[in-house]
Amino acid sequence: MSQLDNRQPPSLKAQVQSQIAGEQLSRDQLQHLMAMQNRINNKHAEKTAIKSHAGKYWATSIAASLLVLVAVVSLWTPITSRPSLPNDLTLNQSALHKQIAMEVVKNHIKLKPLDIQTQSITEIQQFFKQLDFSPISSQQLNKLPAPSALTTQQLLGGRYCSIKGVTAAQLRYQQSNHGLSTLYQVGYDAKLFGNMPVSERGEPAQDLFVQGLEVSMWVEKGLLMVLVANPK
Amino acid sequence: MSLFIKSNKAKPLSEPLLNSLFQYAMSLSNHRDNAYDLLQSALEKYLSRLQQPGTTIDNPQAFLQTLIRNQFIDQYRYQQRWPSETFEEFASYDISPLSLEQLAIDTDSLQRIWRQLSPQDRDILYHWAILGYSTDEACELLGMARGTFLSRIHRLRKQLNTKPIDKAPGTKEPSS
Repeated sequence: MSQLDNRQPPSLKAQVQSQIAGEQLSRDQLQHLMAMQNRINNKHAEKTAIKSHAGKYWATSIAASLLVLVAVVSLWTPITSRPSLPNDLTLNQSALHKQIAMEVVKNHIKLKPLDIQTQSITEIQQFFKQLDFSPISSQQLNKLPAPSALTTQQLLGGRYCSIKGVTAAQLRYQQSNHGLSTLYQVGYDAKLFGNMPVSERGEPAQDLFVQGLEVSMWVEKGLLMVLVANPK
Repeated sequence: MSLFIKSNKAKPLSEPLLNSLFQYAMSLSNHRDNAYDLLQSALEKYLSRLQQPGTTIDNPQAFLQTLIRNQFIDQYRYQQRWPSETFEEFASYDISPLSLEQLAIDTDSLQRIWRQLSPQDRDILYHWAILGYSTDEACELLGMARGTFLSRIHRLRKQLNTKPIDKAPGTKEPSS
C-alpha cells in the first residue's frame, strides 16, 4: 500500500479505506452472529454423532441393493444399436455463433456513447491502446451490397467493448440509408469463437438474423469481425 | 478455496473478521440492513457447508466474500442494480494512463459521491483499497474484462473529480 505523506492531500486510497472502515456492526449484531455460529455448530455436532452409526448401516444396505439392480438390468436389457447422435461439433459451432450474435446485437441496440468520435482509422488505432491488437479498416465493408456498403468516410467513431469476455473494439458507421452499423473487432481465437470463414480464402461471411438485425461474422487479418446492420 | 479431507470442526469466526465481512457487504449494498442480511445469510451457508463431511475451507474470508457477492448479485439483479449484460460498456472518452494510486480527494467529497457510485464501482474500490489488488488481479477476480474495468476507472475519476497528488521532488512514480 502507498505510504501517506503528511504534506500531501489525502490519497483516494486512504479516504476509501477510511470510508469503508467507518462501517461497523453494532454490539447487538455481533453478539447475534456469534450466538448463531455457536448454535449451528452445536446443533450439527449433535446430529453428526447420531447419524454416524445409522449412516453406516444404511450405506451398506443401499450399496448391496444397487449391485443387485445393476446385475438385473444388465441381464435383461436388450442390446440395441446405438442411436445416431447429432453432429455435436456442428451444434456447438452453431450455438457459439448464435451466442456471439445475440451478444453483439444486444449491445448494438443499446447504442452507448462513443469513446472516440472520428472518421480516421489511424486515430482509432492510436486511441485503442488497451487492446491486444490493432483495429483495421476492413476490406470487406465496401464490398457489401448497397445500401449496406461502408467506407471510412462513414465511420463515426469507436468504443471499448468485449465479446465473450475478451476486450474488443466497437466501430460505429453511418449507413447511406441513415441507419447505423456496428463492426466489432477482436483477436480471433477458434477455441473461443468457433470456426469462422476467412475472408482471405474467399470464404463468404457467416450470416444470421437476430431480433430483426443481420449479423455477419468473418475472420480478416487474424481478427474476428462481427458486423451488425439492418437487413440488406 | 480448496477442499481437503479433514474432520468437520467449525471454528467460530472472530468479531474483527465479521466486521470486515460486513464492510464488504456495505461496499456492495451501501445499506446497513441489507448488508447485515447478506452477511447473516452468507454465514449460515458457510456454516452449513462446513458441516458437510470431509469438507474444510482454508480461507473463510475469501469464501464468505464470494458468497456475499453472489448473493448480492442474485438478489439485486432483478432490480437492475447489477447489470446482467454479458459485457458492460460505460461512457468514457479517454483511457488515461493516470492510475488510482495518484489521485487525491477530500473526505466530504468522497462521502458525498460514495452513495452515488454503483455497486460494481464500490466493489472495485474495495478490492483495490482494502484487499490491495492490482488492476489485473481485480479484473480476474471479479470476472471483468480489462477494457470494462479501465472504462470504469476512467468514469470513477471523472465522477470523483479528483486531482493528481502533487509529487514531492524525487518522488518515484508508482508502478502500474
